Amino acid sequence: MIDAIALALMALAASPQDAAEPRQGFPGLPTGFRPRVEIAWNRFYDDVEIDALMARLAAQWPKLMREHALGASVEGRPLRLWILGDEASGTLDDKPAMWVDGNIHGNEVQGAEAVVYLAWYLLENSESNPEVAALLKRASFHLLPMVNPDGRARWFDEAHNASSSRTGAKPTDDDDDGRFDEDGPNDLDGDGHIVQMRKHLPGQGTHRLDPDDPRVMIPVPPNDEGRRGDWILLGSEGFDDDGDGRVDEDGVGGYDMNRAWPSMWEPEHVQRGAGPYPLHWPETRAIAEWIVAKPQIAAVQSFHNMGGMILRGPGAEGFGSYEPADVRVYDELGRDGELMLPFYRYMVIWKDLYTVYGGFVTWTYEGLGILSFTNELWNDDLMFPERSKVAGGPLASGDKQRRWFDDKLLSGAGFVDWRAVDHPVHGKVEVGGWRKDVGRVPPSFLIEEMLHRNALFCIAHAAAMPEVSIEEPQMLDLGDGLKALDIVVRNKRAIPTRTAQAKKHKLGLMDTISLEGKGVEVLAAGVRGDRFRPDRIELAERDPAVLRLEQGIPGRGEVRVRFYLRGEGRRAAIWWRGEKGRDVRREVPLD
Amino acid sequence: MTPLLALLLLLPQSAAPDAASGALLDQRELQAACARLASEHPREATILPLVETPGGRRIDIVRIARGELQAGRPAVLVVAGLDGPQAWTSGVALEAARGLLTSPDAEVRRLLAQATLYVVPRANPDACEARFATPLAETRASVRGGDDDRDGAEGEDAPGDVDGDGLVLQLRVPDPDGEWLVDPRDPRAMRKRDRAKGEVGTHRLMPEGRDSDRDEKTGEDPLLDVVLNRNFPQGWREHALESGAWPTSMPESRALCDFVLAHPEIAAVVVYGELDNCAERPKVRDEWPRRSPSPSEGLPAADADAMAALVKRSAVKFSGRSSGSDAGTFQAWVQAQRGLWSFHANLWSLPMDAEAPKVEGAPEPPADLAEAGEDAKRLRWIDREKETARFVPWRAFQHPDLGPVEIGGFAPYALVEPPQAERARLAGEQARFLASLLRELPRPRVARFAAKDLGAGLLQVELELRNDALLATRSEVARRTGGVRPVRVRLDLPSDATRLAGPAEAQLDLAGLGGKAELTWLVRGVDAEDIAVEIDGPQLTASRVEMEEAR
Ligand SMILES: [Zn+2]
Repeated sequence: MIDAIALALMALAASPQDAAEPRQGFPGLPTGFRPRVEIAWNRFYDDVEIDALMARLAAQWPKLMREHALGASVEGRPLRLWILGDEASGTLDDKPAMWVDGNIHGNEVQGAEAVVYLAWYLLENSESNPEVAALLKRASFHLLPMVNPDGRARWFDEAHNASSSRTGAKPTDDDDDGRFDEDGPNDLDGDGHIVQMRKHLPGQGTHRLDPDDPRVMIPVPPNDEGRRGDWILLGSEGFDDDGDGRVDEDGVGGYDMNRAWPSMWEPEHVQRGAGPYPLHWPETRAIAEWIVAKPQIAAVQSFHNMGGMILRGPGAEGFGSYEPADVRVYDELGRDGELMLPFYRYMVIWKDLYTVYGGFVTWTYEGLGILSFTNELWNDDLMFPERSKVAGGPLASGDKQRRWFDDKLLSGAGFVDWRAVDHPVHGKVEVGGWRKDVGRVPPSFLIEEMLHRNALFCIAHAAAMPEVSIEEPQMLDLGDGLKALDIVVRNKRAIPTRTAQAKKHKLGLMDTISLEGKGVEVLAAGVRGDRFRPDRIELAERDPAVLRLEQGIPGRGEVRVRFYLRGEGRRAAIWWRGEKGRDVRREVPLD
Repeated sequence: MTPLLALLLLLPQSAAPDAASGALLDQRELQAACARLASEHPREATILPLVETPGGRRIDIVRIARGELQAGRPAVLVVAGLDGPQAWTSGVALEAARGLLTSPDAEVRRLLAQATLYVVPRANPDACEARFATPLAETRASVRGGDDDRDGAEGEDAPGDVDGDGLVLQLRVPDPDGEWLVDPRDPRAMRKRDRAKGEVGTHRLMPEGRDSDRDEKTGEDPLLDVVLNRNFPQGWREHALESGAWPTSMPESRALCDFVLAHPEIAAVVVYGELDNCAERPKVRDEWPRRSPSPSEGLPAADADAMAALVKRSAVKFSGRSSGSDAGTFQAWVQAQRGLWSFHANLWSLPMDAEAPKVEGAPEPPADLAEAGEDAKRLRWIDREKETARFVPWRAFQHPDLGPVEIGGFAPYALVEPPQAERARLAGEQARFLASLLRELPRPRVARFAAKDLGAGLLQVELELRNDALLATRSEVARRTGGVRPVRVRLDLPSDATRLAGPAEAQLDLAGLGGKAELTWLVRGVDAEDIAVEIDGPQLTASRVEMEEAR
C-alpha cells in the first residue's frame, strides 16, 4: 500500500501537467506555463527598447539566437538582424531559412513587435513544444524587427499622426526648391500630436458641429436652405516654414523604402517615393546584399499596417501572372492564413489593393524566386464583436464607430480634444483630432492577439519550407555486372525546393542528385517520368553521376531517378543537394 | 609577321605614350596623363577620385574650370571608356579637354570661366584593361564571378588563346547544321545563312577557347560577366547575367549615379561609347506611357529638335550608329530618368562603304551573286587601307576538344578602334563639340525688372526672365520626371513692405532660343529702388538683382 502511494506520488511528480511548478514555455495556453522572459504584449516599444527585447531573448537562449550587424540606417541607428535556429543540430547555412521583417514604413510600428513576438514564441517553446523544437532543428529564421528604425524613432519621439513618419530620414528635396526637409508639420500647441486645424467663422463656414458630439465636424449639405456652417477645416496642423506659399510640403525624408527594390522598379515620376535608383537607401541595400548572399532563404514575410491583408504580388499588372505552380502554394498558405487571421483577406497587390512598383516582397519572389507575403496588420473590424451597420444607428459610420469605441472602451483617451491656439496665417484656430496611435494600430488590449496570430502564420509558412528525404533505394542486378539503382527523393512540405519562378529564370543553382562511391562507375542516369516504365527517362547529357534538376523536388512530391552503374565498389552514397533544403545523404549497399 | 606582332603595330610605339598623340593608354598611363594635365594646368584642372573598382583600379574625374567654383555654376559631364572595347575613347576625352584648356580662342577661355567640365576618361577601367592584356581578347564585361552555365563552377570555360598566338579569335568548325557560310564574295568572310532564301549553313562560329567541361560549347562561361553599362536602372534587364544583381550593384555604376545626383549643376552629359544619338535626330515620341520609355524609343519633339540643332550648330560631323540597345545603360538613365541633355557618340566603327577593289582583267562577278556580306565589306576597307593586322586569315588547327577546326577572323578591337591618326582628329573635333555645348547651356538672365507706380504707394512690379541659349533650362523629359529642378524666383522686399499680390516664390522653366517667363506682383510700403529678386536654379549661380541695377 505504501509502495503504491509512493509510486503514485512519483508519477504525479513526473507528470508536468499536474506539477505545482509551472513549466517553462508559453504555447498559448493560460495555465501551467511560465515564460522565461516576461514581455508585456499590450504596448509598443521604441527602437531602443525593441533591440533590448531581442538582446534579452538572445541572452536567455544564446545557443538558439545570435545577432548579426547588418548595417546602419541613414541616421546611424544599427540594423540588427537576429538569426534563430538550433546550430547544434547542424550549420544553419545548410538549412532552409525564413526571412521576417517589419516596420519598413516608420509609422507602421506593430510589425516590429510582431517579429519580436515570433522570436519570443519560438524560443519559449523551443524545449517544451516538440513541433517548435523540430522546426528550429530543421530551419532557421532571419529576423529584422525594424527595417526603418529612423522612421520608428521619429514616430515615437516627435509629433506625428497615424500616417506620418512613413519615410526614412535621408534629407530629400520634396518640393524642388533646392532646400531639404525645410517645411514639415508643426505641432502648434506642443502636445506631441499632429492633429487637425479648424477655425470658427460664424455663418461663413463649410462645417458645423455634430449636435450629439461637438468633437465632430459635419459638412454642411449643399442644399441646406442657403444656411452655411460656422467652421472651416484648415487641414493638418502646420504652417509655411519656408515662406514659399506652401504648407508642410517638404518634411523629413519624403520617400518610400517599399518602392525601392529592383524587380519592376520604376523611377520617381512613375512610382512616387522610389528614389533615384533601386536600393538607393542604405537600409534597403544592406538587406538586399544579405538576402542575395543567403540562397537558403526559402520564405519571406514582411509586416506592415493596416487593413487586415495577406498580400502577394504581382505589384503591377504589367508583370502578368505568377507561375501557376507557385500560385497553388501561395493559395494554400494564403487561404490557411485567412482562417488563422480573422477579418484578414488574402489578396494580390495590384489587383486587390493598388499598384506598387519596386516592392520588397515582389522582388523576393520575382527577382529571387522565394515565396513571399506582406501582412497588413490590424483590421478595425476587430474592435466590435459584431458590426452594427444599421443606418442611423450609433455605429453606422466608421467615424462614429471609432468615437463610440473610444468613449466606451478607452474612456475617450484616443481623442485630442479641440483647443485654441494662434496660427501665424490663420490667426485664432483650434486644433484637435485622433492621436497617432489610433487608427492604424490596435488599442493595447488587442495587441497580443494580433501578434500571436501573425507569428503563427509565419510559423506555418516556415513549416512549409522544403524538407527532403531519400527513400530506401531499389537495386536491380541486370547481369554482366550492370546494375540499375532506383531512387526516390521526396519533399514532404508544400514549398518546392525550386519554385517555378526560380526554374523559369534559372535563378540560383539547380538541385543535384548524385551517386558517389569508390570503385563505382555511373554509366548513365536520368530522371524517370513513370514509375512503372523504366524507358521513360530523361537521361543526363553529361556527367551522369551528378544529375542536375532545374525543377527541383516539387512540394509534397517526389522525383524518381535511376542510375546505371557497374564496378567493384561495395557501398555508395546517394546525395541530394539543394540551396533551399538540408542536404541529404543515404548509404546504399551495392552487393 | 605573326598576328600578334602585326597587332602590336596598332599599339602605341613610344615609351611614354600621351593622349596628345591619340595613343592608347593603359590604366597606369592614363593616370599619368591625367596627372600631367593637372600639373600643366594647376589652376584649371583638378583630379577628383570617384571610386575604386572591384579590380582595384581607381576611377578619376578631371574637373576643368577656370575661376571661382560657386554653387550652381553649370557643368557638362564627359564620360569615356565606359564600354570595355572603347578603351581608346579615354584618350579622345582627355585630349579634347586638353584642347579646350590650351585653346587660344578668347571665347573658349570665357566659356571655361563660366562653366565646369567634368571628364571621366575611363569609367570602366576593369573591362578596358583587357585591351592591354595578353592574350588579347575583346570583352565588355568587368566583374568576375558568373556561373553562366550554372554548374556550380565559375569561369571554367572561358574564351582563351588555344593556339598560343596571343590573340583570342574565332573558331570556324565545319558543320552542316551551322548557321554560317563562307561569303562567295570573299572566302575570308563569313556570312549568316539566310533561311528565307533556303541557304544552308556550312560552319559553326565560336569564340576561341577550350571546351573543358565537354558541353560542346567553347567560351560559354567566361571569367568576366557583368557588363557595367548594363547595370543602370533605365530599362534594366532583370535575370540577364550581364545586367548584374540589380541596377547599380557595381561600385562603378553606383558611383557614377551618385556623382550625377550630387552635382545637380550638371546640365548636359556627353558619352563616348557604343550608343549614338548625334548622327541622326533622335526619334520623337508623342505619347508618354505610364511606365518610363527608353530614350531609344523616342523623346519629346522639343528635346529632339534642340539636340539636333545643337549638333548642327557645332558643325562637327557625327557618323556613328548605336551598336546594341540602350537598355540598362548610363546614357539611358541620365536621359530618360534624370532628363539631362545627353549626347552619346559612337565615334568610330570600321567602315563598310569602301568600294570593291577593281582588279584589271578580273571577270565581273555573276549578276545573281548575292551582295557582299558585312564582313566582306569590312575586308574591302581593310584591304584598301592596308590595315592588315585587323584580320587574321583562317588556318587549320587541331583543337584538343573539338578536333580539326580553323582559327582566325577579325582581330580583337579591329572593328571598333580607329587608326591612330584618326583618333587625334576625332579629339580635335570633340573639343569643338564640347565648346559648342558649353556655349549653348541654358543661361537665364533678367531681361526686365521694373515697377509701375499705380498711385497711393501701390507698385506693380514686373519681372521678365529670358534664356538666349539654345538649350532650355529643363528638357521636356526633366519636366516630366522632375530629374532637374526648375529655376526659382523669390521677391525680396524690406521687412516693413507688404506683398499684396503675386507669388511668394515661383518655380519656372525657360525654353531655349529666347524663351521667356514673366512674373507680376503688387506691393506697397516700399520704394522701387529697394525691391530685389533672388534667382537660383540647379545650373544657375544664385543671384540677387536689385531693381536699381536692373534699370
Ligand atoms: Zn506599409
